[in-house]
Amino acid sequence: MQASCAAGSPGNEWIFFSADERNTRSRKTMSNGALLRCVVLSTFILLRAVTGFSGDGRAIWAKNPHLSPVNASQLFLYDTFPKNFFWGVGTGAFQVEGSWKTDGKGPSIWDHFIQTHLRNVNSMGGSSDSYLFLEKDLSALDFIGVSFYQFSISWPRLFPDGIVTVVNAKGLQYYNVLLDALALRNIEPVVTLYHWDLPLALQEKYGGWKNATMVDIFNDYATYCFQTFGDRVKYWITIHNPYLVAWHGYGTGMHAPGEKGNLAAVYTVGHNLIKAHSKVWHTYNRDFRPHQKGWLSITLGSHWIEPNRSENMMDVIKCQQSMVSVLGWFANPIHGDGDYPEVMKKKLLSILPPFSEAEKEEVRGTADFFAFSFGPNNFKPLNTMAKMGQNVSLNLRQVLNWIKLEYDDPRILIAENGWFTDSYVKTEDTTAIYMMKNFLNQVLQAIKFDEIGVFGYSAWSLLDGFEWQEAYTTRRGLFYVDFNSEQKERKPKSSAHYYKQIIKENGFTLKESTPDLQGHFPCDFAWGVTESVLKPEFMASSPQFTDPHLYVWNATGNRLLHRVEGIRLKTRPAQCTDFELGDLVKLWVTINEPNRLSDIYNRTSNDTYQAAHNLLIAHARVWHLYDRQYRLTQRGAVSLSLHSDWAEPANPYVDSHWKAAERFLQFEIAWFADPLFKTGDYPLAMKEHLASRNLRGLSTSVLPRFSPEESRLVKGTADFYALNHFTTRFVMHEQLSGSRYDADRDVQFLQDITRLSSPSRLAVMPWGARKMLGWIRRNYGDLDVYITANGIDDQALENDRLRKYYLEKYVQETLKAYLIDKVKIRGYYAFKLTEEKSKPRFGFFTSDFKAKSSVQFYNQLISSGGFPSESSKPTCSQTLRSTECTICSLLLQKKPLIFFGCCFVSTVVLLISITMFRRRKRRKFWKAKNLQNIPLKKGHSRVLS
Amino acid sequence: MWRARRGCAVARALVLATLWLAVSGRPLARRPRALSDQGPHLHYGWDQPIRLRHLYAAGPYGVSNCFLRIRSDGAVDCEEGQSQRSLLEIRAVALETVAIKDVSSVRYLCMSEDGKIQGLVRYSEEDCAFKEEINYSGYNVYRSSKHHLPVALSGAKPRQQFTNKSLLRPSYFLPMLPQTSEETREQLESEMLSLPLETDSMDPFRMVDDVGLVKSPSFQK
Repeated sequence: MQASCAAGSPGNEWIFFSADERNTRSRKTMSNGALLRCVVLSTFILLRAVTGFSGDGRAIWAKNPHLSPVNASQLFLYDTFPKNFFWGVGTGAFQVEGSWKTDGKGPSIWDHFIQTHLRNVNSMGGSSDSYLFLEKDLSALDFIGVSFYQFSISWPRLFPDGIVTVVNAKGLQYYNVLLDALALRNIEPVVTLYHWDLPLALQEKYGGWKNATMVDIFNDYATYCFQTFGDRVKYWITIHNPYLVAWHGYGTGMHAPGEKGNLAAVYTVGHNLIKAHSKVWHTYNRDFRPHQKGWLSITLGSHWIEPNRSENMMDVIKCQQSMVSVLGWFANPIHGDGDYPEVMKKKLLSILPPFSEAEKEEVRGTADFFAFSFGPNNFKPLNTMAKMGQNVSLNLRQVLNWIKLEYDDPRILIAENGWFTDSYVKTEDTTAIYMMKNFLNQVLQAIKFDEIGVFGYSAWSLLDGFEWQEAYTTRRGLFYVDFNSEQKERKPKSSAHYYKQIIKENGFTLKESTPDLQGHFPCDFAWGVTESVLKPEFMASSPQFTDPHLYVWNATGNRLLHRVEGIRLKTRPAQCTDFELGDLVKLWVTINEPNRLSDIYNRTSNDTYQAAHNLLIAHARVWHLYDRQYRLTQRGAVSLSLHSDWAEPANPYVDSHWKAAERFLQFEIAWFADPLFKTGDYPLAMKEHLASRNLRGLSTSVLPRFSPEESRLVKGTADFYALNHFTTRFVMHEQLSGSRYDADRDVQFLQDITRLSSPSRLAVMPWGARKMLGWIRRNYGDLDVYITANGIDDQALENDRLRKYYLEKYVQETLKAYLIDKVKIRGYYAFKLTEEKSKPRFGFFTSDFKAKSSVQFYNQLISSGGFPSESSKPTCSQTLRSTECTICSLLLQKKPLIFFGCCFVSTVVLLISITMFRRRKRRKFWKAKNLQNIPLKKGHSRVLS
Repeated sequence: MWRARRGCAVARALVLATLWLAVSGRPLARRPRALSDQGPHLHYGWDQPIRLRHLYAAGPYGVSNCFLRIRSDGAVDCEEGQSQRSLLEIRAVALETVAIKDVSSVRYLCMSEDGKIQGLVRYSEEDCAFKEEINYSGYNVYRSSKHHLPVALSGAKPRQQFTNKSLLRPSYFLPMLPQTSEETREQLESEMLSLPLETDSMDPFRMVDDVGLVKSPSFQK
């Protein structure tokens, strides 16, 4: 298929503007647009004069730069859809019916196109055969529990050559049976009259939609359908995505009839499609609505686009042009003022057929609701739309807002939405779940926050089938169909289970978390903050054992190490565990995240496992050293901290994902925690998994063996569980080969795009912390637990709202784990104090030590001890601690002074006593001398003695 | 006499205080820092023929705690901070033998007859190739096989010729991975945030991560 269409893309030619253009709609903009003008009023007026370009929808792209990333209107919305919301699923006749020439069906242009243009497609056998297996389709509908089924009628199945003469009875019977079956099941039919399968005869005889005669022929066919089926059908769609019919059918040649390069034909086809639709609407409105009381519209499809720079007016204008060239082309006449958008008329001049005033009047307002299609067919291939150098986007909420502003807040039926998977994906369509979740939550947000009147949603599609230019290389069904099978069983994919669940709950309910608590942690709870390391330079390897210099830390309050010149110290041997400051430290963490440290030794898995083994032994030795020599006097506790992020199955409907999530935890955490806290040996699950991989020849990984002495040495050598917890990962099973630790786990990760996440793509999932804590308690018993690191990166340098949100939510979940689940959490250390230059911004303080607003927030959190209610504020008195230790702390503080004092006193005492002694001695001596000199007389001797 | 005695005690206290400070201050310098151990030298990409690295001079002899740099005038000195100017290309030219070129000045690290280190524009196999030896401490010593002299950085002024060659003490170098500058990093980050949609893919948002690496914020390289 060559896509070398001469037209390129419709918008590309429109970048020129005329200055004299007048515009009526711009006046309307001035009266009711509010958001845009306050921001870019002057620019707007200037540009309006130049371009004369209309479109209230442009306001969408004027983003509010002050909007918080954690604003409720931006976060995933747990809420329900309006009562009686219209849940449905859709199919196109040509994509699923099969039986292209049985029972009197005539050929369509697509049957012909497959034979002439898509030769390599095995078209005849490969289909889901809905014509033959109607019952299976109905069971599929029952399974999901939809309130409507959107299907299309195959025109050539009713009228083989397209002209309404004698109906093909078998075809008629098929649709009658289908409609009756739906009525029986209380499923509302939404019927599309034309989903691209034009009877080939009409193409050959009249040139298809290029010929205005088609308008009346289509009206005849539609009238027949209203007459025959109208008693059971309340929602009619005339044409599915006329843009693609015209653009790919006659512009790029990628769709039937495969004509290309003729721009005039493209816009003539579009013109006739609009007129055909409006004529049918009038027919229905005049002749059938009075007694059938239904509604009729046309499904318009479009992409969405966002400006490179939202503050750049030219980019915004290009986005508007891109939307107008696709959606506006059909929506403006039908939902707008009855005419093509001004800019299209100006640019395309005579190529665009004109509407006469009478025709405008006829076309305008010929839709009872806005049927909107948003799916891959409007996004790929790239020549499907005019990108105009801007960014294509899948933001369904934004495009709904655009429709609201451009077409005066219509009621909207999303008549097609979804994405696709590659054909090798069978029932485990995990990515499709998240695409659906994302789209549907945006619809919910649009309803709840933006007050957009979406009343129904049609997931596309019910079944795998023929995907137009992609034939059978992609799949879009909620049900998997093996096209080569005989019976074409419909197997529900994960997305079918997911959609079923959403319909059942009529929205999204938060199951992972319980309502927030009021409560607080006990007074002796350790509130802390983590700082990674002190280092003379910000580098991976500082010469810690070879640098002979003396450093003073934080001498001027700058938190840097300052080298003291002129002093050389002896470097010490590589040993770091003599607990020098042990009397000041009550908690020791020997190794930070050995389960990450071992990752560095990643040449082979066995290197990694050996490194981990050595780390465990080293830790155990240190623990024993402390236990033997220091514990008695220092009374501290020793453990190691494990990187413990929670894991959830990416696809909860698949058993292998549940197993993968648990396996991931075994490989990540139990790998270290089992030897330490439990068995003194590596977890059985890990050993068994490695053995089974080796058996299948996927790897040659072997865990080191603990000798009985080693096992005894390691077991029980952690006094508490220290976890560094940051996020939750969605895990899926994927068999990987290779003898590496990452491969041995057989898992892949999935980032749920609907979740709030940080610049470094860490997902904020607070309930994951509680689940992690519960898992630890279940597996390792009632241990003391310290959260030694928990934090997130936030780009903001001052008002770090994401961090505050994160802290609040994670501490709240920790509190739940403490109060409800009775996990013995003793401390919480927020990560981290200061961040480093050119690293993700994790700090409470910037790299140049400026405080962010989270500092105060965390301070508040600490001083209230959690989330106390007004009545139960904790009364933690500092007195207990101070009285207990006034004397000892005084002693500790004044130790040198006391020591010197004692020395001094003793010296003085010694000196004095020596002096006294000598003095006395001397006196004695003098006395003795005097006595000798005085002659003793009898009378005196008595006196002296 | 009393006063003299008191003075004596103060002096004694001072001496003791200094001693005490020296004892208790020492741990600051030698206290183990829980730095991530980069592990085996394989991690430094020794399996690659060309490595872009900074050479960190670590002492204990001569100039240390700085980054080797070859200036555009050919002088070799050592710069305090790690920057683009100290980025070197280390290329394996023979077994255990490398050529070291400064990326910004495009000069090769060479050794003259008297053991003087200089930067030359033209590479010569004899003067500009050095044996890369791993010291017991994990640091590298670069030794010229022709001159049988190690690369040594000494003092701020250019080295004067050594009368006794055996006295020349080698500088110990640590090859360091180049840091990404703040700008390029932020650019990368913002690019990552607004990666264009892959509309041709069944996973247009790149939700599925094929690499499967678990990274921890508290364990950054």
